[in-house]
Amino acid sequence: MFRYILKRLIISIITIWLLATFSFFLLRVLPGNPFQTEKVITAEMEQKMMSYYGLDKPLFEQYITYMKNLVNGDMGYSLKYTNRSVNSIIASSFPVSADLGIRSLAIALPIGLFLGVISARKRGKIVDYACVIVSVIGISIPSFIMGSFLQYIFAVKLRLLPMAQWKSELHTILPTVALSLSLLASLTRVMRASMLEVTTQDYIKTAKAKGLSEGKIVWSHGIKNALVPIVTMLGPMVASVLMGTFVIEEIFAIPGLGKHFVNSITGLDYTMTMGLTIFFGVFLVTANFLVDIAYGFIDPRIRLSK
Amino acid sequence: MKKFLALFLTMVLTLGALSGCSTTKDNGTDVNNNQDNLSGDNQKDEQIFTFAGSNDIMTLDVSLMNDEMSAIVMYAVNEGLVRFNQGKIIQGIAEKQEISEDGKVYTFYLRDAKWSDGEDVTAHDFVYSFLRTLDPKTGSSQVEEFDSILNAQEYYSGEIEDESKVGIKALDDKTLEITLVEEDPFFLSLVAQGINFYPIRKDYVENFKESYATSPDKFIGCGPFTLTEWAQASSITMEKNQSYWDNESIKLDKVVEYIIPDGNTSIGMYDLGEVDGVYSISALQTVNYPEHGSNVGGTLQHLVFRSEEGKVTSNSNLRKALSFAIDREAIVNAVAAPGTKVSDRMLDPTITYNDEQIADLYKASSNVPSNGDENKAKEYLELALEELNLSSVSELPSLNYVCLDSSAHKQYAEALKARWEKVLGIDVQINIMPVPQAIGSLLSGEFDIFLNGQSTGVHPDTLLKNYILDGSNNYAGWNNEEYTDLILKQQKNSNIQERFEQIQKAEQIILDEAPVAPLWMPGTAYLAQKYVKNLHYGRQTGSIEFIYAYIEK
Repeated sequence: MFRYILKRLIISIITIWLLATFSFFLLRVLPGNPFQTEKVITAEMEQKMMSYYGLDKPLFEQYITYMKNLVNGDMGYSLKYTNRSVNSIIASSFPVSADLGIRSLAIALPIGLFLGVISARKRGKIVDYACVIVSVIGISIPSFIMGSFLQYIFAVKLRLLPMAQWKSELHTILPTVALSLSLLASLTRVMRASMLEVTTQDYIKTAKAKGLSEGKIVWSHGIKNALVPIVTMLGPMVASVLMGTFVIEEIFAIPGLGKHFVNSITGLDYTMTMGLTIFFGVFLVTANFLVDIAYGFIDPRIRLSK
Repeated sequence: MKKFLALFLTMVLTLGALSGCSTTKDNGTDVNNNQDNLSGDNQKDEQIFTFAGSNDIMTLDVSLMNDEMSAIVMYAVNEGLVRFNQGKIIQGIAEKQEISEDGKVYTFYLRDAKWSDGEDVTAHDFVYSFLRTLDPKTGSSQVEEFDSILNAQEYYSGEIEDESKVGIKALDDKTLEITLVEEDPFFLSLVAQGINFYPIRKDYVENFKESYATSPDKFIGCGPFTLTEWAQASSITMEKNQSYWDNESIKLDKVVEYIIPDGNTSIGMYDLGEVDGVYSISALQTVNYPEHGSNVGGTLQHLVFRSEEGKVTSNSNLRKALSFAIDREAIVNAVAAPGTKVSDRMLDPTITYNDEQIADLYKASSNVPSNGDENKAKEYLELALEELNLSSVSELPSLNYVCLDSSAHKQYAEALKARWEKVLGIDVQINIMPVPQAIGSLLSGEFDIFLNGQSTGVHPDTLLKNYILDGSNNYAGWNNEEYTDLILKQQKNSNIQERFEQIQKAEQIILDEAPVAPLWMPGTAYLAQKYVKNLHYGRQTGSIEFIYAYIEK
């Protein structure tokens, strides 16, 4: 087990290094200059700013400097948010995104799995159709419509909840629901399909032949085996949800990380984009690593310790 | 069962990698404040104004500041020598100023003003601030604002290193002397309008170094308000500054700006009474809110036609055909924010000299009616085709319109393209690019048509001086010697009337040749509840002037 973890760790570090290197050079291939905004500055001024930030040095030299700083955990200063380091921006906005993400997952995960099981068990019945409809709606309605719809009903019409912002527990309800609906829907779908597949397996027949009760079969043979694909999708899902979602954060005015992913790249904020890419990369690699370990616990067939 | 438990634990672990995640609910003041707004007037005596703005401020470092939202906050929490209010220059920290006879030396006499911690505001604070902005080590993109000051250019470009040679001096604690390169009748407007002419406290910069002005405790101002809270990307709170020299004129106790990126959300919050005002609303939304206010000025949006040889747009008749074909009025009514004004010239009509509008006295015009002139456009097109030796429009190559990736610019581009295709039958290709890339194309000349919105500044020649021969901002690549002569001559001319006449002549030349086609001056529409009194929008870039506002319910 220890050797396995060590091996994974080394692979992870290499992955992150490749990710950082590729994105560093790819970013610089993009045309344009980070200091140009709608208020056009002169070419001389542009040059001055580039040299102030050391962006006029040979690219490889910049790469070495960046990597050195990165190893020390320093991701540099944002080119747009004057005097604010990428580390500090991530440190202030990530907890908010993560908080929203955890809340949404906490709702979506149990409900999604439950609906998936129910709908597989009652295949072809009204309950099944209801679940399918819910999940199709959840997947196909974009979150900006869902968000606005919830705002309209609960804030504007019923005046039960605040419209936007991230201040008290009450403020968190609408964005959490808006975000969890699409998660819930995809979890339901996967769980349903996986559950149906498991039901046709031989070991279920065996269990039935042994005379086990229906509940016991579903619980200890069905669900547990059907969870494997869920765990697989959970890694990337958790990572991306915790990193923040641009649309939900924009509609509900939540000071999270989501908007930086979009704005930093369109504004050519090199350091910010790099920082976010690496942060996300580390996160995703870790999540996948934990998922791989989790497999072993659920399914002895893919146990890794040997 | 045990395994299921293990799975659950792993999930918790995955999530648990994020220990320390919590809501920003410890934000006690905000919550209270919100309740005040929701329930209306449970605190009758306290004057609180809340508004929704769309972006966070980028910095409060005076030397580095270059965005609109920072400028709005800085206008309230700091004060320069003079300031614009309701379109007029009023005295700020400077009680009065004297201008020498040759118009080159400005002496500002500072009043007995205090920083918000009670220390005196001195002339040294201004000298420190201006020189810090100009210092190459500061890395400010705003240094060109100071170009008219003696030796400023030489200092920021590194030609001279002795800062005492720059024309910015403190004669004593309360007297500031600024020497210009040459006479500039608009210098005072420049100081009033510029967002980088505020004082800075040296001890704050030295104490906090890189982190200066990144949070309220690391920033100090001397304006009517003090910054008390800056929750990044969510809200900015300012409270009345009791040590402000004119604090009797300030009626608001507290101003809160919520950062609400989505336009519909801010309108919803306005409907619910969660905010008293919305900083900027779209044209579409103004239909439902007849009480909206609007303001124009500060920026001129104009088409730039790449006019260097080798491009079809180097043909001035073709450029005129394109300009005459545009129904500016229809586009403004359909797409632009209220307050937007169609323009037929490059001079901003709000620029004044001795309280008189220069544009009124020195007329020039492209002669394009605001709803366009289809027949003239077609005539010019015929001429252009003849000169280009083309038998029909279809032989004309498709024109490359580089468009900024913003919703307003995209709508303009679509409307213009449709018009050109319908009236002239010219094929236009719209290339939408993110801002840095689009500006890159503008600077390198890789476009045929570009819609440029540029600040008109305080000088009547701000836009015109871009288009001189081989000028580094000559985006059109248009070269006209007579024009260049006129522009360069007027810059050195000390006779102000002659100067304006030369500008007028030059303006007529550029309008006749049409390397640029003025379109309109975009307006801003804003919302404020009726009980918010004395709220203004100034000419100063992005200034919502709430400092003298009050609430009357």
